[in-house]
Amino acid sequence: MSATDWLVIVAGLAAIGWVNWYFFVASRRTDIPQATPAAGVAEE
Amino acid sequence: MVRQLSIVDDATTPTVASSAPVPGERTIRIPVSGMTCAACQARVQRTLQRQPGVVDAGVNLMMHDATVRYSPDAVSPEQLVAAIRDTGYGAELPPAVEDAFAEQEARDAAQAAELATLKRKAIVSGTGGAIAMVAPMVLMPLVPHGVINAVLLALTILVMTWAGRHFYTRAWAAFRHHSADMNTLIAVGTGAAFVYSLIATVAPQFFLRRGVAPDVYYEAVIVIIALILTGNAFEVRARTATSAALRALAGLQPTSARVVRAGQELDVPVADVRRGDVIVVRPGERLPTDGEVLEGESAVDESMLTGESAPVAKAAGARVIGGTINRTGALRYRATTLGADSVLAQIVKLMRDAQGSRAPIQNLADRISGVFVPVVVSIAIATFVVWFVAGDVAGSPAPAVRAFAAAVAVLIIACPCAMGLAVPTAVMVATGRGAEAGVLIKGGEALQRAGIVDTVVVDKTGTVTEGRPTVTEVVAAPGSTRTADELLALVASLESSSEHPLADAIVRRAREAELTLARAERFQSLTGRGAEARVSGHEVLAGNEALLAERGIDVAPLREAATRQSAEAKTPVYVAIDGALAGLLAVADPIRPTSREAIAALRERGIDVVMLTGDTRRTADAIAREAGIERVVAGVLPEGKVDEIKRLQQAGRVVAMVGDGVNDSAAIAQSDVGIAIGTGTDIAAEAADVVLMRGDLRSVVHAITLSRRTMRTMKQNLFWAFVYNVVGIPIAAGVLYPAFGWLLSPVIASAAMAFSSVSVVTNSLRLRAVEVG
Repeated sequence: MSATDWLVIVAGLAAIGWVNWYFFVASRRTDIPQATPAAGVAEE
Repeated sequence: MVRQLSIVDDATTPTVASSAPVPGERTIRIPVSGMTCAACQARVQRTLQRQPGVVDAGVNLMMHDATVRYSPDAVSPEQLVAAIRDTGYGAELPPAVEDAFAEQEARDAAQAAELATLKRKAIVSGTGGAIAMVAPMVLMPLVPHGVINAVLLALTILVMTWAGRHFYTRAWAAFRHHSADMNTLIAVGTGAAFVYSLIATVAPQFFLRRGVAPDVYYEAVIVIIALILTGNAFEVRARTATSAALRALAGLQPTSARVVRAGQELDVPVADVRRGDVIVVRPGERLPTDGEVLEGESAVDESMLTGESAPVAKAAGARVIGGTINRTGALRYRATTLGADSVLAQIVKLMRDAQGSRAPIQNLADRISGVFVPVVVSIAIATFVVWFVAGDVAGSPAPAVRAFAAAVAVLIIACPCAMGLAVPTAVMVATGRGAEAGVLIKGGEALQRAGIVDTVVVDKTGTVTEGRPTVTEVVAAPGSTRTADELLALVASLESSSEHPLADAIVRRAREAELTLARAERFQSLTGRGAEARVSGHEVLAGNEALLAERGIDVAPLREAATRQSAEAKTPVYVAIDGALAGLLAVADPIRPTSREAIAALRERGIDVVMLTGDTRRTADAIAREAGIERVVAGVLPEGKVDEIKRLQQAGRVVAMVGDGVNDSAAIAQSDVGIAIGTGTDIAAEAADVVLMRGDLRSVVHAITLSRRTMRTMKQNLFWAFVYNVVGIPIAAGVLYPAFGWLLSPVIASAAMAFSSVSVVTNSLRLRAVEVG
């Protein structure tokens, strides 16, 4: 395998790791939106 | 001014039903727009569930709303709406007054607008895709390659930013919140193809230097978007069909009523009708409100609400239901319940709640949808890596190109939408189908449980039987010169002054036979024994054996007939005229004509039938024998009925209790599936999971049949949705390539993806054909 192949493998693994971290781990740490009462109040 | 909120009572909102309502909590239904798949639904639901003060939240993809149970001290409805909006989806506070009809109209209008937009975009982008595929081949000899690519680039940008814009904006909104949905897959797939093609267009040398042709995928991007939009349009159209039953129910409500005011008949909007107004309906007209008949006789077609095809006779004192059709004669009636309290509005509301509710079987699909997209993106990256390395090791000239096409195909073929639609579409069609037949199923959970019922417990009075005593036999005494009708007319004349339930049965029978009743003089009720009076110059005495014995009248000639009647659960009423035995009447609460057939049908389906009654063993056995029921529990009080159901449940049985919804409410609440039969009035208030609009035990069979078919459809849908992905993703990734040389083009993948959800919805629509009465 060439250096390019190894580079693609490492980059791919890193991308997979990042995707799973971002969507499964980081999403739990992130604060869920806490809206202010003023936002989104429908008025007539 | 801040809008008033529509807060709905916990008891009537089955959507969030995982725990019992607690005092102080409220439930609100918030319309949510922009959700396209199960992952969207999961994201909104998760966000709501994590809000402080939220006890439970359920989001329905089909109904496009969120039902949230919350503590008003900790969170306000405005905060809930804002939290949804912050996830990238639209949300607004519900209207002040819940008008089921107006809400349905608004939902229909929104669906029609969505369909029109999708069709327009699909047609335009489809045309663009056809041009992108054909034009390069036709123009290649005439126009420089660079110019063609530039034109295709412009066309692709146009399609992506106009027709496909929402895929990218929603994907971005999801991404910002660490979430991913169907839009993410489309956006990443088409976005990658676009970027690759863009580089090939503006910097072809980059590829040429590496010995790779600078191919572009513009036509693939456009066609993928066109096919997905086409699939979405088909899906919306099919979804519209799933709510056809609900729409038909809402459409039954007339817009105006002919009201008598100050002696004049006036046409007024139905919203202006007041309780107590006298309404006039002519033959062929639809009744505008519920009410009680004052004058006139007619046959009213109630089939649209009860499923009963034969018109129902109505005369003074009869109750009529708004939305039904007056067939034969003119009627004048007093309006009783109006607006949201009317039977029709209650049915529409109940159906809407039911159609928006979740079945427990959906939880599996939800769990998978929640992790689906990141897993698919990971598979796509792995696909690229494997194809690239394998191609490079094998000496392929352009390993990146094939690797790229396979990765895009994986992204495009993966479809969480079919999983999201598998269960709700089935719930929607099945509850609608049930409503057409007068079987109102209050939600997905009830639908699922009814499918696994193995024991049906039926109350006797009013369920297996008609629930009101009727004269079943008139026997003249040996040697009597009077006919049965003459005897009945005299006794009915006597009993017309009595308020005893048996008297009511005798008078009703005489009226049905169109007999002329005379005035009873010197009427005397003899409590617990009978009654006597002077009728048409004769002394008429009617009562039990003890009464006649007391008067010295020998009942021996009719004793054998009376004994037989007693054994058949009938009450014998002896009649003496002018001091001589004249005859015998039998009064009984007869079994409904359809009960025997219904019980046989239940047993054919492997369901045990048990009859519970407070009556004596002899009466209960007689009725059970006639109805074909083998297990009878007699002499039980209402608490005893609850204990009996608990006992069956402890023995591992899944029990459905069928009763009248009022006297049997405790037993109905205790059972796994509570079924209220033949009520037709206060539908929403009942504890029952299933309400039968028709007083017919066959509807129980229909409810169970429909539930079983629905469960089968849900399982089929989930199976195909999962199989589609389990098979489609590996093929797109190229696992069949080494053996067969098969690869899936991204365009074919997009077509397969677009139509996977259509196939699920179409399968659910087959439930419309289930035979239920």
